[in-house]
Amino acid sequence: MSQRARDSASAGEVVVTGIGLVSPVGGDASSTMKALLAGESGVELLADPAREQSPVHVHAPVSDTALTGISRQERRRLDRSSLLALQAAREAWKDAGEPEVESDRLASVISTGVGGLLTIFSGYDRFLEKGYAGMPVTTVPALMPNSSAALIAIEYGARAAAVSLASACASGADALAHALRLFRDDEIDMAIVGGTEAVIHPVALSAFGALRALSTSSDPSAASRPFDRDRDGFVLGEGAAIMVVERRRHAIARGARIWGKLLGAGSTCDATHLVAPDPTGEGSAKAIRKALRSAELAASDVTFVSAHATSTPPGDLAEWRALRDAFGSSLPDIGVTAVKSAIGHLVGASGAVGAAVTAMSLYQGQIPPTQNLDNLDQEIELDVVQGAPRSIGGGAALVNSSGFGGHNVAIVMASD
Amino acid sequence: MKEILDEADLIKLLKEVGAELDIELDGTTPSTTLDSLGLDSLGLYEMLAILEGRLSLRIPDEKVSEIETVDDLVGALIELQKSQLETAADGTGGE
Repeated sequence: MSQRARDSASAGEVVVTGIGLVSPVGGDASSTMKALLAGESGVELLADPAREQSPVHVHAPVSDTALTGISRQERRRLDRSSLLALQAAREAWKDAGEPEVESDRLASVISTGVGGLLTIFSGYDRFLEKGYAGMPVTTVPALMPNSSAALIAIEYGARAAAVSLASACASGADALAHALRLFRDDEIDMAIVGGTEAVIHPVALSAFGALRALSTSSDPSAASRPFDRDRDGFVLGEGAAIMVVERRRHAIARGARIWGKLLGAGSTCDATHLVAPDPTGEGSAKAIRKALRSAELAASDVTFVSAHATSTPPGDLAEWRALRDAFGSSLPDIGVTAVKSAIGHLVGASGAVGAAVTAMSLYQGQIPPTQNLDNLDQEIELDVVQGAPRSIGGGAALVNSSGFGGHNVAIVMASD
Repeated sequence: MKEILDEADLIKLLKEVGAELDIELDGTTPSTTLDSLGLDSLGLYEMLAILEGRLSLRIPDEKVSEIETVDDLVGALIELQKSQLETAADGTGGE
């Protein structure tokens, strides 16, 4: 390829220019990254007085003090998942330098795995108390799963598209995959993209608990232990991760700081079981191969993997098999990190959190460590980053994601 | 029998409801439009739902679309209270 052709191709690349994150370990992107690198945990004991009867004892909440950019009216009107999304979107937009962009070329792609669950429950509580006439008029707009995508579209005038994709715990990664397709179809020059989730409620905890998906540990700092022999389920967390992504030529023309590149995405479905992952990891391996092809990279180009790694016994095992099959002989040279060891599982936000943290890792050259890996599962052979952050000199990274429904999504990013 | 809230009472009630909804109603005049208070349609419905609850009445949809100013709202509420009282006095009303 000639230099001119290369320049022209790279001008069309998609780059990350803004990051916003509200997580159980920090109210913004930089404090979250700092806490992850320092090995801090956002997992806490449930404050619910009924906890003694519950098989689930821990969760990973976002501190209420994190919602600094949210008005009283928004708190009253919107679901918590949208408050977290708005907080993260406003941070990301500011971080991107409050860009000027043509409205018809801006999309809002904000996913959630569940939607406004807390609004549904509070609405039902209100219904039981006051009956048919007592329902707040804000109930339907607050509980819609597309509410956050639409709110962010309204705030920034994103008229090209606003959509929320539902693929359970892969939703956040699917948002990025969808945004990338909008760029490739030349529909947009910029997208506000990510995921949000806020479903910490006794009903959700007991429902996930009934599926035996959650850890029953009562030790907050040790409950989330991806790839560890003694892992026993995930810790339910909440939060949002939202990024501003745009064409490189658009970013360069306005002098934006570039965190990293969004190079490729691949999605598949196991089509085997509604909640259990395919134990072979075949669908996930295919998604990873598709993502690498889409990024025009080889397995050996990947420096590290941000694993889905929820800490469930079957999930982590299936993911290991997928990584083994997709990366083959390159796998021993690839560091693997599991962010959920620190912040629990943010469900529909988790893939977006993985991507946001990966963008910061690529930019800063530091991969956060995986916590609680005392004994690597004897079936799993991975170079898991643990104990301290690992320094890297850039390169490419893969963010892996899977969800109930058999959804598999892989995202490829790279340092600029 | 229930007393009708007059204009002064209704303005007072509006200010109370406005405070609950973070809407600044000080300094409004009868001709102030609800739009200029920063009330979008959702905000208007929110306010109307609370007023309906406090006054135990229902504002018909076709009435809602006619309300543009504070005066329109107060007028509509007075009219609805009156017609409710008349219906009750006729004995033709009922739940």
